[in-house]
Parts: sequence; C-alpha cells; structure tokens
Amino acid sequence: MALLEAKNISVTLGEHRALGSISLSVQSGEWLTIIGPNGSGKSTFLNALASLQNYEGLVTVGGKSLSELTARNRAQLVSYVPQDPIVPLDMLAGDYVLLGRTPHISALGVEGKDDLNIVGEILSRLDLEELGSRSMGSLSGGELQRCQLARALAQMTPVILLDEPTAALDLGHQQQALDLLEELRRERQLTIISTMHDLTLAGQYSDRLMLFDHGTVVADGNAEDVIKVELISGTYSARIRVIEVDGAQVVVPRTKEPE
Amino acid sequence: MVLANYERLRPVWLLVGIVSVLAVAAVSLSLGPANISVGSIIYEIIDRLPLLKTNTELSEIHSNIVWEVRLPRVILGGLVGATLALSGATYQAVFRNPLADPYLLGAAAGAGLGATLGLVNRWGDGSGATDAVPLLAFGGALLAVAITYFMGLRGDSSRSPASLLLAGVAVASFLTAIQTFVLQQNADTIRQVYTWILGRLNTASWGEVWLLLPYAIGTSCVILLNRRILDVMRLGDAEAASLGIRPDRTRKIMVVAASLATAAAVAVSGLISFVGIIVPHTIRILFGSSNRIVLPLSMLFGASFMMTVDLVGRTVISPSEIPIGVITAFCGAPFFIFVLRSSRRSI
Repeated sequence: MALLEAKNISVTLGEHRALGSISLSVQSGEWLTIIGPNGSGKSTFLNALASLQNYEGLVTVGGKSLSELTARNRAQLVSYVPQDPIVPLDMLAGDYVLLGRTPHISALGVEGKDDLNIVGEILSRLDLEELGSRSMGSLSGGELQRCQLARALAQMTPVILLDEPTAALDLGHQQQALDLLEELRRERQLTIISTMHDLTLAGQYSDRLMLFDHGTVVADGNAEDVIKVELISGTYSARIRVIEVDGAQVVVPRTKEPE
Repeated sequence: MVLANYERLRPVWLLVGIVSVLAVAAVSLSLGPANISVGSIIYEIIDRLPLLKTNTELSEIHSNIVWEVRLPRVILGGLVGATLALSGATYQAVFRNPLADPYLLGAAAGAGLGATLGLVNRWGDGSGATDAVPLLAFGGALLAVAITYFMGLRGDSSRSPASLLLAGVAVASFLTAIQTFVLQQNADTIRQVYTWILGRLNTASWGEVWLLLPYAIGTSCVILLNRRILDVMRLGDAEAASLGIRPDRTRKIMVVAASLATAAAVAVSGLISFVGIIVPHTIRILFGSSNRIVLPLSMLFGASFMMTVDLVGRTVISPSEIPIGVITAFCGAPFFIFVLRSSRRSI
C-alpha cells in the first residue's frame, strides 16, 4: 500500500492556477524527485504536501488525511526543508538541530535525554559534531545546508520533503548528503520527495522522476523514461544531449550552433 | 553520543540575577533623606514576617518611611523594570526584529493620549492607584494595540508580521498627533503631561503595586512557559509551522500578554523608554540568544536596572528628582554602546 497519497491537488495563487489537479502515490522507502523549469510548480507542490500552502484535494500519509490532523501530528509524519530557510545567525548549530525535536516535545515542555541522544547521533552521522557549539552565522553555505538536513532528520518522520537539498553544496558535499539520504532510506524506510535542478544527480539518486511543466505532470517514471532529449529540451526550452554513462542518464548542455 | 553543546539557562546566572535584585533593593531602602542602615531594615522586614520576631530598632517614623514610602517604590520599580524588559524581549522574539520594544504597536502613544485627556480635563492628577489617569493610560494603551492588531491583519491575507509593525507606526503617529493637538489647546497642563510622559515612580504606593502585580505575574507566566516555542519562532513562520507550531496563534497570545503587561506598567509609571530594548540585548550579548536565557534573565536584570536607575534619579540632586525616563536613556545608552562594542557576539 502506498505511504503517501495525493489526490487531485490544485493550488491557485491569486488569479494564477499554479498547480492543476495533480495526483500521485509514493511507496514507503521510495525516493521521488520532481524536476521541471523555474515556475513549473515544484516548490508549490512541496509546500502543499507540507501543508504550508492552501490547496484543494486530499493528501494522506499512512491513510490519515493531513488536513484533518493537528499541526503537531502532521509534523510527526512529514518534515520539510525549504529552499531558502530563515537562519537565526546567533543560534548555536546544536540548538538549531535540536529544534527538529519540537513535534515530539510537549507544547510547554523542554527536551529530554532521548531528544539529546537522537540529535547527537544525527550530528555525528553528518560529521557535524564539531559544529554544535558554533553559531549559525559562522557556518559555510554547505555546513548550513547540512544543519538544515540534520534538523529535518531529527524530526524522525516517515516522509521528508526537500526543496533543492543540494543547491548550495559543492560536488563532494552533494554526494555526501545524497549518499546519507540513500542510507537512511534503506535503514529506516525513509520516504523522500525532493526537487532538484541537477537532472543527472536527480536521475542517479531517485527511484522515480516526475517532470512538471506549468503546474501539470508531463512525464512520470524512472530516469530512462523521463530524461529524454525530446521531453527535457521541450519543457526547459534548452539545447541538450543525453548520454548514457555506466547506465546513468547524463544531461549535457549544447552550445548554440552558429547560423 | 549525546548532544552536549547547547545554550541553557545556568542556575548560577539566575542566582546572580536574584542577588542583584536583592542587593539593589537593600541599598535603595537605606538611602534617602532619612538615613537608615541596611541592617536595621533587614531586622524590620524579618520582624514583619509571620511567626518571626526580632528586636527591631527602627523608630515609628523610620519604620513608616521604609514601609509606606521606600518599599512600595522599590517593589514597583522592580516590577515595572521586569515587565518592560520581558515585554520587549517577547516582541523582539515574535517579530524577529531587534528594534522591537514594548511600545512598538502603539501602546505608548495610546497611553500618552489617555493620560493627556485625563490631565487636561482634570479628571485626575496622575497620582494614586484609583486616580483616573492611570486607568485612562491603561485603556489607551490597550485600545491602541487592539486597533493596530486589527488594522494590521485586515486586507492582508498573508498576515505578515511586517504589516502589523507598519500598522503600529501608523496608529502611533495618528494618536500622537491627536495628543499633541489636545496638549497645544491646553498649554497650562503641558508641564504636568510632560512629567507624566517622562515616567516617574515618586508617587508609588502599595495601591500601584497591587494594581500591577497580577498583570506582571499572569503575563510573565504565560510568556515564560512559551520560552522554547519562542525559540522555534526564530526559524520563521513557515518552518515553525512545519515543526508543528501555529505561528499566528503563538504571536497573538504573546502580543496580548506583552501588551497587557506593558499597559499595566505604563499606567503606574508613565512612559519609561529604553528598558525594553537595552536589557534583553545586553542579556543576549553577555549570556546567549536563546529565549530560555533571555526571557527569565531580562526580568531579573530589568528589575535591578530599573531600581538602580530610580535610586540614581532620586539621590543625585536630592531633594529634587530627575525623571526616570531621562536616566534610563542617559545611563543606559552609553552602557549599551559599551556592551555592543566590546562584545564578540553578533545581534
């Protein structure tokens, strides 16, 4: 049975229909990546799944309708890392990650030993132990992004939503972050729904890609089905080639040919 | 492995805060035109506690000075300082704005207009807890915040905190314009109104203490219980919501609590500025930025700061007094700049 199910999700922003009736179901432990050009509705769709955006339609996780749950119960099922999070510069990184435990701490209470254990473990998994006592303002872009990921992982939800999780990372840290997500997915059956601009990475790490254009789904399937020259160059209005290297679809931009 | 590096309120800091309040209180009780030693005041206070008896050496006159003049004034000063510092810290947290102070949403302008109307119409003279002026100031402050709140939310579906702040600026200038006009039409009361606006504790009596105390206790409990939630709010509304917090509701509860506390403080002491900004920021710089540190320590150090300021105000040019609002800015601003410049932390 599918873990997360979305039925006929539509979002209207002002007069503009940002998403038109999108339905999908995601299995437990599946990694789905939504791709598409700027303004195609990727982030709006993630916001709707995270209940940060008013939408029409129904989203269920484990059979429970998210709109009928309290904010706290929703936050125990779905965690979310936005593309551009607000970072309190004078907060310690350790405290920042610890805030991820919020949905598991009673409303007016404070964290317990278990919460500190969970956060300590996640920090060591992401090689962040050294950063715990530094302020967020003193971290590099890559360290910040890993702290944000750590905070969402500390929430210990079955579903995690990631909006451009690797945009600020260099090649090595991109791989490190994505490899870690891949490990956690195997260990805890974590279900990941992400958006990505790097189509090659998206194809390599995800089980399934969905190509959005103007708020609708243009293609849905594995990398071989979706990363095709006709589909990608059409929706992105880009000149590309797709080369297969060791079974992975690699997207290579082509320069403009002289006329 | 357990997370070891995080910011928490250390008991020793709390202790330092409590000791500073008690020390300043003791000095304030003994200093004044009538010289009374700290020791005899301590005996006197112990003597009045239930079940305890000591040989108090104070004469009846001195005993009256301590009980009816100095003690209510010291306690009121402490309560006003604690309340204004806590309200300032709360506004800074919910609006994520370091410049936020307790008067941000129009409380000062509303209280100023209420008090001015009371004074020019001679409904009261601004002293005593049952006088019309403090009640008008209290009502004016709450009314101004309520107008700001509804103006700021209407017509803005996204309910951004910034629109609330802007509405506060508009409401404050509107009410100040009316107040200035009323004052200009009644030039004979300018001095009285001006004295009220600069803030004072010299008319303090037990009546005013009892007036402020329930608000101070009630609102500070509500705010302190939410100290961790206020840290979550530092991540912004969207992320707070994805962590299961309802940011709009939290902001509403915190604004109501902080505004009630501010209105009650303003009603008994006039407009004492600056405390709500410098105390919380000094705490952030010296101890840490988590609201679990900032909120409780702001109350304690706000109290001792205000008692110190009042002590200075009533002793340096004794027998006359310097208005308390003048000293908060005169002593507070240089001290704050010193702390700001000498700190390695950023705000």
